[in-house]
Amino acid sequence: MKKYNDGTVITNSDCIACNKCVAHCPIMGANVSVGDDLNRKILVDGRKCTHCGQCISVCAHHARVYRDDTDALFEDLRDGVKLSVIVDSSFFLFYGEKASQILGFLSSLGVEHVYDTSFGAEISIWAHGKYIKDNQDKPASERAFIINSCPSVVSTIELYHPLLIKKIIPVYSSVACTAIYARKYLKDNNPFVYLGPCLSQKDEFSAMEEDINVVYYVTYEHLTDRLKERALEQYERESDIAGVGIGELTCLPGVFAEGLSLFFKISSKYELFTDMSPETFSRLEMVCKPGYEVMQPLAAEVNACKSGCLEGPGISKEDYNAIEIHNRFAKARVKAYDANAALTDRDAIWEVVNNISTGVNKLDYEDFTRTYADRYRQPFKIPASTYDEIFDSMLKDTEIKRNINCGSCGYESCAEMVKAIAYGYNRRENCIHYMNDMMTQKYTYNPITGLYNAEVFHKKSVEILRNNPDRKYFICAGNVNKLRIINDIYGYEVGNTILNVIGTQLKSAALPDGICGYVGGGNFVLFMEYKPGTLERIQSIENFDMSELDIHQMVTMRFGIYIIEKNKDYNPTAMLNYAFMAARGNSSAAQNTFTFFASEAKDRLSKETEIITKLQRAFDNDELSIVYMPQIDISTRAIVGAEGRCHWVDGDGVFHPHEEYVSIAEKNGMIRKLDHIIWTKAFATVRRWLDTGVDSPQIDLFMSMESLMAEDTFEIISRLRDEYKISNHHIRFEITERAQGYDSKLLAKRVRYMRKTGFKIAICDFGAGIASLSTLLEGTVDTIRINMDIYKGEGGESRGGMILASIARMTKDLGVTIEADNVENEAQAGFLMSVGIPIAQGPLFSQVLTEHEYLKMLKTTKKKAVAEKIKTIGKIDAARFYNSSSNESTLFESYFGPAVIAEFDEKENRMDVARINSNGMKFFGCEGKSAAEFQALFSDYINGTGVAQREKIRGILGSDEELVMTFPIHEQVNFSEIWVKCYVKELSRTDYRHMLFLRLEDISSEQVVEDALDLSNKQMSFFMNSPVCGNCIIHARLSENRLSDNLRITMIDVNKAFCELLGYTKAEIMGWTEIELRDAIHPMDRQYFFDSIRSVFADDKNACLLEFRAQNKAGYYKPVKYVMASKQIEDGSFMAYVNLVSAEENR
Amino acid sequence: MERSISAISKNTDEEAAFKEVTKQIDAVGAPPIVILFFADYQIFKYASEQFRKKYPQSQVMGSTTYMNLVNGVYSHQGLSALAIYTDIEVSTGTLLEIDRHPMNYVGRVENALKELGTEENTCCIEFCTAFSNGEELVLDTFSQTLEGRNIPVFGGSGGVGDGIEETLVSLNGQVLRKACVFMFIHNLNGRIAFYRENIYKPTSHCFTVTGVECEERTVYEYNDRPAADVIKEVLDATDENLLQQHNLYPVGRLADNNIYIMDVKSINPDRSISYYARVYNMTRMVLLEPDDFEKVWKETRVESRKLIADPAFTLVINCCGRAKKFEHMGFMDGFTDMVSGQYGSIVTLSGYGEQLNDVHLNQTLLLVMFE
Repeated sequence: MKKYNDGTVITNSDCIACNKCVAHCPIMGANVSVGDDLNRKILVDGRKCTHCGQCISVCAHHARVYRDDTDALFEDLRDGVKLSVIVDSSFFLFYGEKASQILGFLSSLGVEHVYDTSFGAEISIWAHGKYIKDNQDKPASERAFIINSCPSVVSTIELYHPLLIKKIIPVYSSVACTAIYARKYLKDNNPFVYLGPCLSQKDEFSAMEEDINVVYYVTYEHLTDRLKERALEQYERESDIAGVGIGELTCLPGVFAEGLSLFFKISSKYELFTDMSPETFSRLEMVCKPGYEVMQPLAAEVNACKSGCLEGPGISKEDYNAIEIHNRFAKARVKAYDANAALTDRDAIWEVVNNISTGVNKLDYEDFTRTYADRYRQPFKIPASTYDEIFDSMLKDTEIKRNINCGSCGYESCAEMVKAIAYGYNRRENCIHYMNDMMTQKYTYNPITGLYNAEVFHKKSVEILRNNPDRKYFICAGNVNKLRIINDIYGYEVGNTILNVIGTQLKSAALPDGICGYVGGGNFVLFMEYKPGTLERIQSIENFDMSELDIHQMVTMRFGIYIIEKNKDYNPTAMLNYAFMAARGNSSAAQNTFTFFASEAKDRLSKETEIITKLQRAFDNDELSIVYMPQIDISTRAIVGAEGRCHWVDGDGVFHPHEEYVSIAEKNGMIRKLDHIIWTKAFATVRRWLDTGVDSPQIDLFMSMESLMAEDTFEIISRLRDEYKISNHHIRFEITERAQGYDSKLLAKRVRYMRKTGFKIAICDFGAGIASLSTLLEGTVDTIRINMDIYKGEGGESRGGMILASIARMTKDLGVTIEADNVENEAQAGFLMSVGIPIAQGPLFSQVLTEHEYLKMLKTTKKKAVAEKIKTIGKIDAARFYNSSSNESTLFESYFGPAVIAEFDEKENRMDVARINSNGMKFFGCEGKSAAEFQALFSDYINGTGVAQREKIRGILGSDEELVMTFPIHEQVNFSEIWVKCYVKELSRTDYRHMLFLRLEDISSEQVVEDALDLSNKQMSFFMNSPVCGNCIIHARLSENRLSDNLRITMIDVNKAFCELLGYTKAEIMGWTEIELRDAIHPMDRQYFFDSIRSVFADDKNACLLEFRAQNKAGYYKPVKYVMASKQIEDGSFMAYVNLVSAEENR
Repeated sequence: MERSISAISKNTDEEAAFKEVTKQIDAVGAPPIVILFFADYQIFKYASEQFRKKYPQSQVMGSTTYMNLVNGVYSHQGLSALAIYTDIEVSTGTLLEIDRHPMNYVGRVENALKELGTEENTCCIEFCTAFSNGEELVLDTFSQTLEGRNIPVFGGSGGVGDGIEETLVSLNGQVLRKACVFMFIHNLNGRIAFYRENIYKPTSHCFTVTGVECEERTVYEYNDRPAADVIKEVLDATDENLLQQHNLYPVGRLADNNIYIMDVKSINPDRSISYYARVYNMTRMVLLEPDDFEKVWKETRVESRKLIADPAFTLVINCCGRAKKFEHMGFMDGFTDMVSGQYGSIVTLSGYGEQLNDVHLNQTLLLVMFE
């Protein structure tokens, strides 16, 4: 960071950046704004400050302070350093009697000499007089006229007003003259202390010869602060030298010039300036310019402080008593003038003074003359473009805004503020108008798009509507298609740029009479008058070209348009909702879409809202119950189960059908709660039935896709099972295949996971979804249920019947049961029986029943506990696979994974491929190969490497048995190894030729795992046989609430070393009960032991090391070291591997 | 008689170098009106004094240079000069104390202008000493007098070889430090035109200067963050190679639809960055990347020819940062070829900055062509 606050004047932590210091400082850049928006301060740049102390005087927060050498002075006096004090004459006027006491105290500390600057003031007046007398005949341009009475003024001129440097009379000030006299004429070689009210005196001494050696600068304020608690009355000391005339009065403004005037004609002109304002310097510079020199005064006294040195920044404000000070001044004035009252002739006065100086005091004029340094640094000119740039960044985009000139920033004008910003002295945040404009802009506009935000858009649109009741308007709401994908691919920064580009384009379409807003996400809104041409302006935007952003993908939006009816109550939120609702109706990746809002949609929205409210109330008021649709064995008409359905009758007694609320609940995230409520009720009901002796057959419960996909569903179901202690065969979950938008593989994975609860899973509405057959192929479901709707309608019986028959055959082969829903008549029931679908439900058998009705039916009807899987006895007509229009062919080609139909000639002991589907060709990497080519490859394999497989197949010929084989092959693209799991089943047989169905699965990844496991097992076995270390494998189970309850530990295996360590046989250890195991641990160590084990189970990444005392068979406790690592297995229990060594031996 | 000739000597011996160059100047057979000369630091003072002695009636103005380049020949050592014999009028002057107050000497500019007595086909050529942060003050001083007049200012800061931290300028035998020498040239034979070549193109990385010390040309903050951290992040640089990387990818000040390149001088321990040109607070800056040099040079040849098809002589002001880059990347011969042949007699100043009217910039080539 830049170095600030390292000079005499500094800012302390009380600064709140009120800018007062900036406003009162004569120098731009001496005050610099630093910090951030939350913590701003104005610091001092010591290189620019001329120490006038104005900022200290005006700071209302006492945040501007100064440094002096008071502490160093007292330290050095304590160390015995001999010093002399040059004390400003104002000290005596300021403190009166106390001044002598303070000086007396300083003398007591070791100050040897005290010099009152009133003495030097009289020298300085004489020297100034001499300069003027010597030069008064010169032209004004060659004559200096500014009195050197204030070092701050001199510094300011040297640094910032080079034109005036030659106009300062080249003699030293009163203080400097005193120091020179003391050093040169009184031969005082002590280091000097300057005691005064001025902070800038140091600047003058710094420019003087080194031998003057003023070392300490001490202010009245800091000195008297130091002496506050000290009794000074006992001390007294007068100054060694003091002025005899006007010298002691020169600390007041104008007195120096007044003293000078005594030497010159009464007509001579003198000027007095008591500030360092721009006006002061402007006036001084003006009289130096050619043509104006006639206005140059004989002498001008310029002081930084209004009241001269009596109000310098180093005075003690506490001690300031104006009446006393001015009384003292008045008395001193009378004394000074009365002493010389006899002298009235000005030349005579000069003669006297000059004689005293040169004759009596033997002063050499040259000793008191000086030069001034040109320390001016030309300011940089700021280019107009930079001005504009900064003004623009401050939102000052009009001439009026650029000329507010309020001064609150501390500068005279906005232009000055911009200059300060350009130089780095200030920041735009210090402009109150900028901050106001910024706030307004932030409130009004969205920063990404520069468009109105939602609130302002609403306000403005309603305002326009109200002011123009006779006009018709429309709202167009649009959403950027696939914005999330854009953000994912290109990042949010680019995404925001795209939004900005779109916003700009839409805004220009809305202008001049419409308004455009951005309401977050990818949502834009436009409000325009509904008249010819306006809508077309928006509709003409076909898409958004982002090629300039190097994005060549088409960006499109879906727009919805809502036309606002005249003279209606305006509800901007509702209007926007309608427009957005319409937008959802249509979208395209190729072009923008525009959909008008239809009133039906509005009704639908209202209905949805109503249902959501009611459904929530239904949850709260327990309005949901279960009804039962019995499932019947068609042949026996026995009840094999029931579908449990949600039944909702609201508080008003109104029944709500499923169709009314399920999809809404799905859309609005309420479906999971609905599932949970029904499941809980169903589990509780079954429990109640069982407890009352009702032998309940299986109940099907609906599981929504959301529940299926949710991570915690497994836990919920497990908890229900455990809570109600329901066996798996009492409940079956059904999922619907109608759900769209789910990846079939993910679906299968979730079903597989859910089956781990132990409950069966059925798919209802089989065939309605996209994943039907692939789900079957994954082998994840137990049952499929087909709606008999496919059997209805024109031609339904033939086509639907064929499909049903095919599916029935196929599922039987796959070991999946099949059931039918919605059976309406005996003909359908008969058909189902004929194709091997024995279970059904529907109006033919029963309507939906209440619990009471269902229980009654259970009692009166035969029941069958579970639906049995029907085994196929007959064979399938293989020829149908060769007929491309057959159902079997279609299913084989389109719905199966890799599969092959092969013919095994038992006599020839050869196997040929009859048909392979496209997934099969892909599986083997043979896409594009002909059947003959594939046959050649197949023959090579089956008669070569695959002989063993061929022989296994031969073993099942003629039976219904399904053969499962695993073996590696090499696919034909990269010739990489694939591990195949092959399911072989015979379809039919003609003489000695068997048609076989081969279903193939890639299990390469599983095989890798198995290989790894095999290796691990071998390693484990090696470790287990270690003669050095006792090893055992244990199985442990925690209670449901996991780590808070008892552990149940079972020993799985131990090695010889383990047995020897504890002195038991392997059989004894393997037979340990939990109590015996616990008893083998020292009672004092048990808690620690089990706590440690629990902690290992909680963290399966790390092993635990513990020491405890184990009891051996002889009954002695011996210290052992125990290292255990664990792994949680699928059922939630833990397997742990334990190493045990004697800690005694280790020691 | 030829209107102008340019001469070069690679000789490191000052006397020999001077002789070789003046031999070529004298070969024309008449004393030149103007000699613009550039030399390495070691022989500059000698050359300055000797030119004054040998050609007392000529206006001789020069500067130390990082590299001499004349008519297809370049060298770090030695002396080069452009002598103009006919069809020009000139007046000269100096500005002193350019590190703090050249405006004190603005009267000299006014006087020189008065002495010339015309503004038509006139330009001001100036050479400043480098390293005193004074170029902008010099340009402010010129603009004080030349504002509203149709007299462009072209100039360059002096250059020196690596390791020397002082550059010198000279006018008529007087060698000056912290100074600017200038010459108003009135082309009696036609127009004067300039072409500015930029071998960089902007990247998408823009910053706003939010903390600066103008006088020291130091940027403390970009976008309210330490300047070095911001540049380091964008360039994916390390602390060790940041200076080198920033030299390769300098920043440009965006103003008036132009990019004014700023060369980095140092990365400071307080994470500020010092540049060779002034930058203001709140200025928008863009990170630059090297363009295709060959393509740029081709464009330079074509575009400059459109300005003046066949210049009689040309002053080439080529930033030493560019020269070093060309040398480092093996493009120096290509550059030498580009500036040779098409521009009449040329002489090249290779220094620490270029001046164009009221802008001081870096890493730029200025071709000041006289018809």
